[in-house]
Amino acid sequence: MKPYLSFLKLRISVGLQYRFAAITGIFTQFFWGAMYIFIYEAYYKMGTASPMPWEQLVSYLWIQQAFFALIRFSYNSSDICDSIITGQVVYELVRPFNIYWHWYAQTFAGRLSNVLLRFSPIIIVALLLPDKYALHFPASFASFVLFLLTLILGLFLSISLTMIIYGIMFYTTSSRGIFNIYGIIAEFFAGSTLPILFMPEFFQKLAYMLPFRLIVDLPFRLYIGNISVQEGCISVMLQIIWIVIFVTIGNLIMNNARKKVVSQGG
Amino acid sequence: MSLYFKSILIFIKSEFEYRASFIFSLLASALNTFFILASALILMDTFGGIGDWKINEIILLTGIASFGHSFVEMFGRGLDHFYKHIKNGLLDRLLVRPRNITFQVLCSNFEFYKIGRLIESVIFLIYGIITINVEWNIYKGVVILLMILGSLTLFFSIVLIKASFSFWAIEGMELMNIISNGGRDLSSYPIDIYQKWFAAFFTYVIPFGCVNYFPLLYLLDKGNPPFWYGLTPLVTVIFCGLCFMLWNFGLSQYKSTGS
Repeated sequence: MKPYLSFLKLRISVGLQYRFAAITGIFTQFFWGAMYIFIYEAYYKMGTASPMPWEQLVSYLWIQQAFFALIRFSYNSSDICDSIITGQVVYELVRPFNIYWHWYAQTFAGRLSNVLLRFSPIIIVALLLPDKYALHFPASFASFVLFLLTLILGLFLSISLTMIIYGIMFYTTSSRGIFNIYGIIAEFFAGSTLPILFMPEFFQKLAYMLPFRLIVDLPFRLYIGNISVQEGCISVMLQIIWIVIFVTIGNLIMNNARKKVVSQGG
Repeated sequence: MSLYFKSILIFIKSEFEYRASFIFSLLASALNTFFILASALILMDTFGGIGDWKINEIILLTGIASFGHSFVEMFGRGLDHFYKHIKNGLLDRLLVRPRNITFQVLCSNFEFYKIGRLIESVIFLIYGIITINVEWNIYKGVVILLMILGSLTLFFSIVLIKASFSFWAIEGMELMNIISNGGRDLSSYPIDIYQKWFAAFFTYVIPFGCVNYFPLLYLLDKGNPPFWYGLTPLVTVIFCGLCFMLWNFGLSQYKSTGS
């Protein structure tokens, strides 16, 4: 019994450590949310017609903060990046696992646990704020269901893209730069830096052609009721198609890299 | 000083060893600020401005904030990532060396690739200075210089706070990023666009308003500003002094965790 108890104690203390990180994370997300809302408030005071009603925008910004870890494109497992750079990856490659799905699961778990620790307090407090700054309830039950579905599919899509970058890292060994550039461009065209509705027409068209908006813009605007349920259903198909494409590409790159991998000593 | 340049040179050389990585990182750091400013410009275009501020004034403020931030990010990275030194025990090694600790910490890290963002912020600065509608005289020239130096001092003070904070709590670094990265982004706009309490905090507690809002009012002659508005960036020197006291206090309290 004793070893189990000490194991339990250990797990709890590890959990508590993460809880402190989660609390500071929640506070941080609140700060950013408030800052963006104040900036937009100053813009809305100009009285010009806006492409997004105020209540919808505020909800959009709060959901964005709540699910921040889920939609952060530059997120990657530093274990995986380090293993490629240091050569540890060789040990992974000799194991009887499929490295693609192994890493897929690892990255997926990392992001999901990060979000699960943080999102609920942000949502709850944001719902309770004074009406003008509060997160509102989803537009309808159908749009809420679609929001959850597209958010999760979006996570699959996002990780399929991350996997391709892991694959590219086998060839270049420059993880930091590639991940950062990818993150910044993807976040812009996903609607994280600026909601896509505010963008000039040219950028909007570009954003609609790229897959990134299906990860952020689509679920968030479904929640606030800015995208109809009908359009949402079609977009789900689109998400699935993109996932299949990127998983295939990722597997091709990874398999190819595996055949050619040269371990640079150790 | 020559010792400092030597250590910087070593870091630059090591970064050039991974040339592709260096170029990508440089591009990434520049792109980030670019997209943030682009978003602001798009919004200003959509809404026809913000408050009674014009686009080139926002570009100037973005330049000032981003210059101070990226300069300190580049040269002050040692302090910025100081919490790692406490974790891995490097501080203990530094303490036994016969040199100033702050100096050694500053030498301990240097990220040359941030130069992308630094150059970009200089471009914003120059564009802002050329295009804003100001009747220039020598005093106003001094004011703009004070704004730039004030921003630098302020962001340096912030990494000092960050480093001091890590003597007591290593895990809360994300919170500290609020005032460094958050400060950069929020001071890209004049502080008066925010809610009163928010603006007050970032003027009287952390003096962002003193390097952007008050001196800018003076430069633009908005609402008959008294001449001392132009001198408010000097407040950052006092602020920096306080931060140094905090840092020294932290150092004097430091007890190694062993290992």
